[in-house]
Amino acid sequence: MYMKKICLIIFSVSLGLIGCDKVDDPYKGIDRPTEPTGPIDTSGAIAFCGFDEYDSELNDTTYNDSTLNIRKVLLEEFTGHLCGFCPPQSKKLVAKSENELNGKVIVMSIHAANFAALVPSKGYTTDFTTPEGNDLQEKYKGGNTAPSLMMNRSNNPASAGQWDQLLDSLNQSGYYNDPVVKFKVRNIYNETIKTGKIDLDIEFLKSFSGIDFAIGVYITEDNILAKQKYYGENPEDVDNYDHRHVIRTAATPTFGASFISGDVALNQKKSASFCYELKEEWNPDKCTVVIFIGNSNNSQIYQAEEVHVTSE
Amino acid sequence: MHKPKRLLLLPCLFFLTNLIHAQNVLQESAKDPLEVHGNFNVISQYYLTDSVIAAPTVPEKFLMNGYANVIATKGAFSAGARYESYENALLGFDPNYKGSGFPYRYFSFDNKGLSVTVGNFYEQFGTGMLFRSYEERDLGLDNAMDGIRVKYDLGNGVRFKGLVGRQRYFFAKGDGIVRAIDGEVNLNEAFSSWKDNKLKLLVGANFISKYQEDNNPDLVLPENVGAYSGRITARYSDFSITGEYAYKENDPSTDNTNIYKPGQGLFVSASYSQKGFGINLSAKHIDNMSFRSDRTEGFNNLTINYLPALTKQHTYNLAATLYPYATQPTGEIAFQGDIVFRLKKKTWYGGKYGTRILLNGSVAYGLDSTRVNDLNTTRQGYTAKFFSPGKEEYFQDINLTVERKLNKTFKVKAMYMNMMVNNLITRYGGLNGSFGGKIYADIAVLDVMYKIKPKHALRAEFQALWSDQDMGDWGTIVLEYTYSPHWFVAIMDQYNYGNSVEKNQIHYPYGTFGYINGGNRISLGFGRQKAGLFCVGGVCRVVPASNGLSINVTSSF
Repeated sequence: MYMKKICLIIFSVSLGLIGCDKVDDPYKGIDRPTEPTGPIDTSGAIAFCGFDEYDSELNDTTYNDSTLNIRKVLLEEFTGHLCGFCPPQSKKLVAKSENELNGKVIVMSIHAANFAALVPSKGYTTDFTTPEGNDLQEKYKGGNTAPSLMMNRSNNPASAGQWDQLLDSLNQSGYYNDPVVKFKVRNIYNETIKTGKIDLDIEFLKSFSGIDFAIGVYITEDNILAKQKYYGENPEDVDNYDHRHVIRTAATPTFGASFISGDVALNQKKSASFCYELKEEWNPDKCTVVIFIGNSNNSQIYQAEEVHVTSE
Repeated sequence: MHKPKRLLLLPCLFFLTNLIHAQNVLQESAKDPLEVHGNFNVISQYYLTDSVIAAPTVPEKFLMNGYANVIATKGAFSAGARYESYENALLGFDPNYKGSGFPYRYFSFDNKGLSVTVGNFYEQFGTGMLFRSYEERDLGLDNAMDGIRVKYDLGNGVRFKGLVGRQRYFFAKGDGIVRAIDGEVNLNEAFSSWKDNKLKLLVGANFISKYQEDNNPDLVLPENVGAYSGRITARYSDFSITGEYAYKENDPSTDNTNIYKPGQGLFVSASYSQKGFGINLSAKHIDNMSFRSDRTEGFNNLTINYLPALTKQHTYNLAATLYPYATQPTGEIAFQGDIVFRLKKKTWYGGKYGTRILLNGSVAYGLDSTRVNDLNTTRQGYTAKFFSPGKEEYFQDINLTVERKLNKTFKVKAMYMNMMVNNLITRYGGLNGSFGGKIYADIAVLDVMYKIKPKHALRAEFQALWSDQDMGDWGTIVLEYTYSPHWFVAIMDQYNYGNSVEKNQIHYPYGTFGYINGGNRISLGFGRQKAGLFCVGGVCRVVPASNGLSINVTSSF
């Protein structure tokens, strides 16, 4: 009986004494988060983009987690609406990405240089150029020889005759099956203010030493109907050509925002959030957020992932 | 800001004073024989390149998971250890499982109601909603505690447990310290006047606290996070009901995007059974109940609690691996009902041997929540109505199983399932990528067992899944021949004949051959295995596609 009383007392006292910290004011100091600019490290403060991310009535939330066995490659195709040789190659590339390389590659179209110039007199009035595309053109000059293709920004833009061979050699090398990171991506899009927030959890599946990693977040729009020069078609100027995966904007600098530097351990994790805005004329149901992680020093990309802006 | 940190006093320190009795126990145990038991398992696979099914290239070609447990007992004393080896871990397991070592070892003794364990141990309080330390090897989940546990059975139906330790994190330990205490009283044993009462009552309560240093430059993180729960189980004749309510104090973490809203959960299950009939109804409300000893962790790592799934755990391959449901710890409302009844034998409707019918239904919804605009003040994040399903449906499953033995040689089991899984929540992606929406599927299974002659049996399984979404229609055939008690051979083919992407209309053939002798089992398997999910009790891991030869050896002694 004595032991029972002792135990009951200990149990009761323990309930009261084992620590439990109630935090009324979560912030240290007086600085409060405001509208974010650039990448935000959410290991500490949460990012928000000017809308209520918990409002399921107004927001559309989409997810995409990369698996531990796929390394998606970013394919950037230099093209332009005046490039009459481009459409068949572009169609072939997109078909390959949707079938043979489904889930292994992400395609983005860069409209830049002379082939992207506006010619109002002939009805080429849609401006597909972007500051990011212009930056890429300036660095890689791919628009000069469109159609040309970069894979993870690790090769000089290759002419169309080389694409199959390059992609197949990647496939055979096992490159697609050798992931460097695991992406966990959450996208919240608020249609009211046409603003979205990307939350990234990134886990490194390899260790690195002395590399400055950068994160890039781009927005692409698919199935834009606009005029396109198309050799072999009659007429050659096709009015409602289906432009695929066109770069619209970026939530980061063109070559990415600084993410992590120095030594990275196996399974090290880090999070970041970014905000983006869509223009009124862009169709959010056709927009995709493309994320990549690369090397700041040489701009080469290690791995990419994507998530749709809406669940439509 | 922090309220002043309070004195830490642990009940187990008191219980440890009982160690002085150990000398007496040692003398008594010397008379008992020493018993050594254990088991061993190794699963290895030689991987072939197979780009058709997107099987990842394995640089090592050969991967292996293996372990051996050895437990020695002598009277009141017990000690054990487990050696584990991952050279390297099989595909689909966390790459943090790398290398070999002894991640699990313990010593324990019992003395007059007092049980002490030092080292590693597994434990569960109530339903596990606040504390469950367990191992699920097939999931790669092992959150074993490493520390000290004391249990005391005071007699008269009163039992206490106290423990302190850190959780296993692959071959290391997590940052956080877990402290927990649990008490349970069987009222029918505690009070003599209740002894013969038809109403049987068991009540319990527990308190768990985790400690992790606040190393955040911006936020004031609670270093000590407390959580408590109360539970009750009542039985009256053929009725029984069990329930547990849990409350967790502010626990900002990666899982909840660092909000300070308290978490709460309620689990209720009621059942009635009599000969030939049983019914079970369950419901739960989970709100912000992810509880880990490291607030920055993810996946299945360093979970302190276990949130029971309220969905049927299917065993037939298509339903089990394509569209299972994982409990959503950030918030869900779920309901499940089971009805089992047996049609009388020797009737026109029950047949000569009787017929067993099982009807199961389950549904899970998101929370009915409203956002609070306080992310730069108190960071509560949102409010949620208690036990009120939100507009977003996460999962639904209605299934019917009928089992009948037709004669001495034939036994038939038929099953139909109608499922909906919201893939924006489960986020599964197969060969066609991650389908962004709700996936509706109808699944039918026919399982036939034919006893050819004594010791010889043939089992055939026919499965079909029809869906207009994701990867479309699937079919599966399994043929299994058993020559008891030692030999078995099986072949299976899964065919994604209805995939809208023609090149993904793939066959997944797989063959198994095995030998069983006493506690030893050796099996060889060869073929393709499709990518899918493997879930146990609402906890899942992604299984990548693979092709190759697997060898599985199990032994126990």
